[in-house]
Amino acid sequence: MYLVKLKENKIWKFIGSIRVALVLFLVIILVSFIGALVPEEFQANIYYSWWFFLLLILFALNLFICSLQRLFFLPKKWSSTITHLSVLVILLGSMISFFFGQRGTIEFVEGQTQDSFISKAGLKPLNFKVLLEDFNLEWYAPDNFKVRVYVKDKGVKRSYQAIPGKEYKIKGTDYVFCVLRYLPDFKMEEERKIISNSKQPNNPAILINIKSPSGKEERWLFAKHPMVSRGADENIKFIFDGEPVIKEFRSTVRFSDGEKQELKTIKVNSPVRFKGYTFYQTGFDAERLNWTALEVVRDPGVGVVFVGFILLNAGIILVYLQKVKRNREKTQVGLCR
Amino acid sequence: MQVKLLEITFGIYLFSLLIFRAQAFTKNRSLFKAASIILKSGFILHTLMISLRWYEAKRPPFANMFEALVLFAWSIILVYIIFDFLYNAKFLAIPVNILILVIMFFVLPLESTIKPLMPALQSRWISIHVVTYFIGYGALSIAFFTSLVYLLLLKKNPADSSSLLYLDRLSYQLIFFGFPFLTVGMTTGSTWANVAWGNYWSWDPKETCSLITWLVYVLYLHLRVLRGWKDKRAAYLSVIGFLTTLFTFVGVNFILPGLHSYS
Repeated sequence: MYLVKLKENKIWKFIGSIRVALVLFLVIILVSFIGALVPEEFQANIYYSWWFFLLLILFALNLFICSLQRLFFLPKKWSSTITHLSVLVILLGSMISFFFGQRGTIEFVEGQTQDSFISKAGLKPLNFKVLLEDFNLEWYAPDNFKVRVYVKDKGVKRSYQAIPGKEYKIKGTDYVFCVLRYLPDFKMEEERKIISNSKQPNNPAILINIKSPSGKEERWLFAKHPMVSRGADENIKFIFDGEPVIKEFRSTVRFSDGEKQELKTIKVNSPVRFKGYTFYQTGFDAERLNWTALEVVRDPGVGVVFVGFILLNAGIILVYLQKVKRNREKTQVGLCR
Repeated sequence: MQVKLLEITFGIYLFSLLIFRAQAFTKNRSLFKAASIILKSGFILHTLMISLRWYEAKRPPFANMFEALVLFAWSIILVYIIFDFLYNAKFLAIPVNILILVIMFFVLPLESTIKPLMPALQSRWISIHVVTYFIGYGALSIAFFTSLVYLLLLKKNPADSSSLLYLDRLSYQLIFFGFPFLTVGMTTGSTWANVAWGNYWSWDPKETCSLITWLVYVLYLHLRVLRGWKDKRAAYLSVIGFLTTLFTFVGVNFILPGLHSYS
């Protein structure tokens, strides 16, 4: 009885109508588009404003009524109903994130302990301590380095992804070369002793061995100083493209809350959880390698959003499969009926 | 090695196009079959090339413009083969063949050395996120084409209602097919963002644009099913949807630098 009343109630019918849904779609698309165009610092004024919030509430209401109607009056289309409800679940999860989620950053140097994090609303205490035991930054080297070769008399220009220890015959010439050594931070000490000043690629250099019928020589190539790399044989020129790429950076931290202690390693794409907070590796400073920044998040909405995602995907895939099946039952050739 | 393989694949696609063209003149049915087989063997080689690059790089090969476009061309043929199997969409053979040749033509001169992945991209989410998105993009690109043909035919020969009906339904089937892939792509991207940065949605331009694209196709599906948009309005919306897709895929990268800039 109540349902029939609901069906006949004009206001409810209007709010849950497809017409309102379509208008809301258009408005949300337009607002999102404008938001993408404005500078980043103003985006919060759109996406986290009260009127955008109201827009989403209206959309949720429309979707909710529409889903109720589907549930009772179109029970056969349950997969489509799951899809619509899943969007509500995602919206609910994001509301929970917005109202109850906390996020901020922790910054520290090795050996330093923090018991709070910096959020937009100011300093927030953690009910445990975090000690940064170690921070480590690794580079891809030297396996991704490129060596460009130019042989004057033959007019040959080639480029090699030179793996150390492997010999490369330069096609079209009689030259053969091989990378002997890689130093991330080349330094010449007294008595011409060559060392790497650090593990950081501040001055990447490789030593190569060049062989030709006319002789043999060794030559240092510097990524940052291509003009320095000259050798005895003026006929052949090498350029070392040693643009360093970061492989990984990780923090080893010790959590302690009086009762228990835990030693954990936090890497990009592998966050760590402790007492309801999740820690993400985000920042480093190439000039100050004992320093790091972690993102700290406590978000009770994430789980809800992910349930929504699973329902959304399942719902949409089911809608598709059901439709395909129905089409096949109706006609042999799905398209041309 | 894999780059050589890509060049061979390009040659095979060129060859299949020639046979398709020859068939159009001679109307010889067996020629069409032959061209189809050549195109499909090109696709197998294309798949092999991606696998080989995956093996050589020891990571999913979906990280820069070269790799993205190779995958894009691959997705378009994949969708074509599926649709040809399901709906007998033979007339798409030549346009799809031309389209992938154009893409490959732009791909081949690009920097193709295997570069290592930056930390944020080292994740098991990368494969499902990128591959589902590109299959979706493949379907939507073909839908864009069929919608354009629809609009052209409507102008030139509006009396040909059976062709128009076919084109319209085909566009719809393609979008309907691509949409679940877009959805999986978007939600896995969001899940991944949460793993990498602790935030499943931060309204960065790439995220916003992907949401807009998704909403445009939501709009298309609803208008079609509930409002009966099965004519040129649907075709226009499909065109708009593809333009937003294109902007999301390529355009945003010029506005914002970052993870999604395939440089």
